Amino acid sequence: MKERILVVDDDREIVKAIALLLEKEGYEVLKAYDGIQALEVIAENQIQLIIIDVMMPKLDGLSAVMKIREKKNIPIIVLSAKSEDTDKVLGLSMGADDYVTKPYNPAELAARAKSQLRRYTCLGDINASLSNANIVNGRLRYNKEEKILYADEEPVRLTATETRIVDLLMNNLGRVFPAEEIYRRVWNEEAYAAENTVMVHIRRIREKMEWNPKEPEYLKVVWGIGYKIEKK
Amino acid sequence: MDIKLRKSKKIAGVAAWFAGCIIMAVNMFCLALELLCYEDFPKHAGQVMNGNYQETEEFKDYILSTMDKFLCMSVADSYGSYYGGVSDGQRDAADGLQLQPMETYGEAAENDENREEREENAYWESWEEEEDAYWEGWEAAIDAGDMAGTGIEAETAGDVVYESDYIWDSVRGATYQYYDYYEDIYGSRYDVIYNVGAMDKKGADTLHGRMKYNTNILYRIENKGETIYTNCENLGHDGMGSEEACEINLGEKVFTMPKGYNYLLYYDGLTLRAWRYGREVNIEDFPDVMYSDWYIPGFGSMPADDAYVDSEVYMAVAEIPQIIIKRNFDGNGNTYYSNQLYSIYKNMQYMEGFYRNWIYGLVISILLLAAGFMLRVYRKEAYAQIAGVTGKVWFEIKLFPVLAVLMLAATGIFPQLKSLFWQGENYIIELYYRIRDMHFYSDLRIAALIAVFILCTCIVWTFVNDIRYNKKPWKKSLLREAAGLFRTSMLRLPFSKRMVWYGIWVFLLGLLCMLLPVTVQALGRGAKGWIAVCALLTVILYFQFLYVRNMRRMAVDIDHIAGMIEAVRNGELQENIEISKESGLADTMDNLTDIRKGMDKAIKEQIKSNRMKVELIANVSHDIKTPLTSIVSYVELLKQEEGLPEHVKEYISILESKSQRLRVMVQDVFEVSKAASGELPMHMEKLDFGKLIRQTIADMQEEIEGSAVSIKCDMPDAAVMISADGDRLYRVFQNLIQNALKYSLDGSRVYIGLRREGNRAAADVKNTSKAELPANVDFTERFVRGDKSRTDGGSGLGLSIAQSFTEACGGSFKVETIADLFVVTVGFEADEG
Repeated sequence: MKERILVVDDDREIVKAIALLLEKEGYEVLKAYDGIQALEVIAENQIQLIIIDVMMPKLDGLSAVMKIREKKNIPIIVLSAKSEDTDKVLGLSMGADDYVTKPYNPAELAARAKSQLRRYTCLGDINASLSNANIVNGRLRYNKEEKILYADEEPVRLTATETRIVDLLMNNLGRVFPAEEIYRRVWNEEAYAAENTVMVHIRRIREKMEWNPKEPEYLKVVWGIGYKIEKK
Repeated sequence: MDIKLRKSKKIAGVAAWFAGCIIMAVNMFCLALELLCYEDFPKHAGQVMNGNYQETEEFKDYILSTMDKFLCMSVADSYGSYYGGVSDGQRDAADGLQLQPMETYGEAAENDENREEREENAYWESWEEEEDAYWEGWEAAIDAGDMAGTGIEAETAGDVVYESDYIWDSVRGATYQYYDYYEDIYGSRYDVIYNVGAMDKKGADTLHGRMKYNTNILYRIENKGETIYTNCENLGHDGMGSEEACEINLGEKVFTMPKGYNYLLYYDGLTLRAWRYGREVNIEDFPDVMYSDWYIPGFGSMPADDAYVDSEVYMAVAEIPQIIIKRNFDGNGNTYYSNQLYSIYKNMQYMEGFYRNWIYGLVISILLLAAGFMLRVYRKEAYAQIAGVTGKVWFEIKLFPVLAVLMLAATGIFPQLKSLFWQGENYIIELYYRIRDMHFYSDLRIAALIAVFILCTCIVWTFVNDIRYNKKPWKKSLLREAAGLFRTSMLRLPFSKRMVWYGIWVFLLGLLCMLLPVTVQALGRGAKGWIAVCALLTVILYFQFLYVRNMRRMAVDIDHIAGMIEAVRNGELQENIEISKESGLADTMDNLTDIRKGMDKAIKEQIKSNRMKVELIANVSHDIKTPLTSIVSYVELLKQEEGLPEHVKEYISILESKSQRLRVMVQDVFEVSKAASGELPMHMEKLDFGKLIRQTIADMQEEIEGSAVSIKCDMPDAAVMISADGDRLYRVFQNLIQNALKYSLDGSRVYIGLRREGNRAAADVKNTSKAELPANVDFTERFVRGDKSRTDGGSGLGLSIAQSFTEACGGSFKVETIADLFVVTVGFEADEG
């Protein structure tokens, strides 16, 4: 069965573009052009994911999210031109599962949609298969025994060094490691020009596990201090 | 009508109260003094009010002393008088007294040890003497001029009141003369000479010569059955014929008196007896008057002297004494005979009138006070009204009369107090007698005294009323107005001129100080000099006080202005400091306040316009983002389209890169405007500056490697800790390095350095520009670039963002160009350690 995604935006071209993007990925896309219409569509159809704009006529996106949340537990990705932190915090606290700013990166949006759908549809299985060996952090899962990192339940192909870095950071979620420490613990050598070496590896890992390596969600640089994997 | 009634009620209330108070005050004053004057005032008052002068003590004293004289006369040719006998017979007519230093008290200062006691004794003795002299002075004065005159009896007192009053006053005047005379003698000498006279035949004759004209007292003096002196042959004999008015039957003898006489004294050689209206009076009942120690036989245990055994004296006293005047036609003036009895009679009448007036006064004053009390509401209104009128008058005009009254009181009362201190209460009594015995209605002086008293009371009362009803009446004073005038004229002067005036002020004060010794020199070291010096010092101190106060005020104002300047400098523009209008700096302060307000307004407007700009940019960027989203989306879709010709794919990639650039630009514009307006949220934390730069370089490794320049680092290994927002600072260096990579001459090197200078950490990025750097260009201005083409990928906001973010983190950002060398320095306050 094809997953059904509702795309809501008052800009018809954007809706169409997103629909084309997602249909290529193999989803069925329903369209709505304001909040009221969106609520009607949701009431009439079985929907697995909603991508909704904030600024819309009749009923704005955040109000619509609140209304939806009263009844349904469907994952919602808010798509907004408002890029400030406060806007993001507001959207997420209203009940959205994700917040993507315009202009979005189409590939990233598709990946996020995929991720949300997987978590929504396969949540039961994942929880059942999880054991102590797994460290789950958002859409990341790291199996300590197998030493495999899963992103959206897909294994990420890492080199041995990269795996060791991920192993260190995943085992200490949220902790900031200076480059020197990472170098010492991964390479087992005294740090020399550690910053560059570590940064190169970090960048590579990002490219493999992050949706948008330029704006990483998990593997972050704490400027002037070190590196960490954000705890979600 | 109502208003008229009200007005009259007010006037009546005030007048009644005022008059009542005055009369009551005078009455109480008199009562107090009367009480002080008489040991047994009620008895005295009773005697006076009884209306019978023969009941008064003065009368009894007088007749007894007269009897004493007669007794002396009866034996004058053979014996001297008793000790204490009055020696009228030897008095000279001119001075009335002849002092004979026959005896002295206290053995004439031989023993100094007893001196003090003696002095005291002498003092009191002298008082007794004075008292004697007082009464004797009457007599002497009345007798004065006796020698020259030929007698003529005056009309009765009742017929010519004025004349008699006049005469009476003259008599009293003479008395005081004697009094003063005695005072001169006894007040200044310790050794009191007691007045003892001896009466011989000649003295007795002289006395008789004077007394015989005094028809107020009839006498007949016998010795050994012979009449030796008399002015009424038949006195005491039986049967005075039809004229007799009074008969006294003693059984074996019947005495008679002429008509108009009702009091008879008879000395039979052993005892003295007295009859009044035919009824015997008990001599023993005669009061033991303070100063009377008459050695009259028959008194108490006093036996008759052997010398008097053969004497027999008859003495009749007139019922109503008449004044006796002998007119001296060939000489000057008149001769007054012994009118003491008349004086006693007149005096008593006067006192009776006085007491009656006192009672009337009391009643009237109580009535007036009651009326005043009833009308108190109106009275209060009237007070307030009066105060309203007086409130308009300058304070000095009210104050000076009060001061004058006080001066008058001080100068009038102080010597009296001094005398009182030396002479005791008797002084007051004596003073009071003098005042009281002035004729109330005939003597202008007493009327003037009362008028002055009322006037003084009015003045003081007006002053007190003014102070009571007017709030701070001294605010309206001539001096104050003059000072106000002076101050306003000073206010018109500019500040600098006023300072000069203050200087002159100091100079004048110095001048005044110099006057001090001059004053002392001129006025001497006495009280006058001291008062002048004190007054001068007071003036100097007062002006010094004013000067210091002014200077202080000015200093405070200057302080305020300084504070204001500092506040403006610190950007505290809300502060509003008031400054006194008088200081002359008020204009300056106003100007400063205007500047401050102007700055405040400008800054507020700037903030407002900044906020509007940010809002505008936010709105614009938002509006741009929506179509941009579509562009990016469809470019992406196009990119995924397959089977497109190669050149179309190239077009698509161009579209993609430009749309990406547009996206970055929109984001940058938004951020830089926010940072510039200070609305960018910051997360300050401690971080290692060096590490941040290294991380940034590492992060950009690919770009660096892909560029035509290389990067050289010169950074200390040790951590350089600063406080900043890491994400923002990363953007700063990202922008700087990107800039350097983009605009550097191919093959050149970018130098990135970090060093500590004291408590500051400074990082600089130096690169050699590809293009020639234009001079005098602020590179941090938005959309400014070294070259003007605007075709190379950047948004033109790189340096602007870098500067905004650096400054938002609290750092300094400086761009320098030295020829083609482009240097950016980012400085931060370094944390210790």
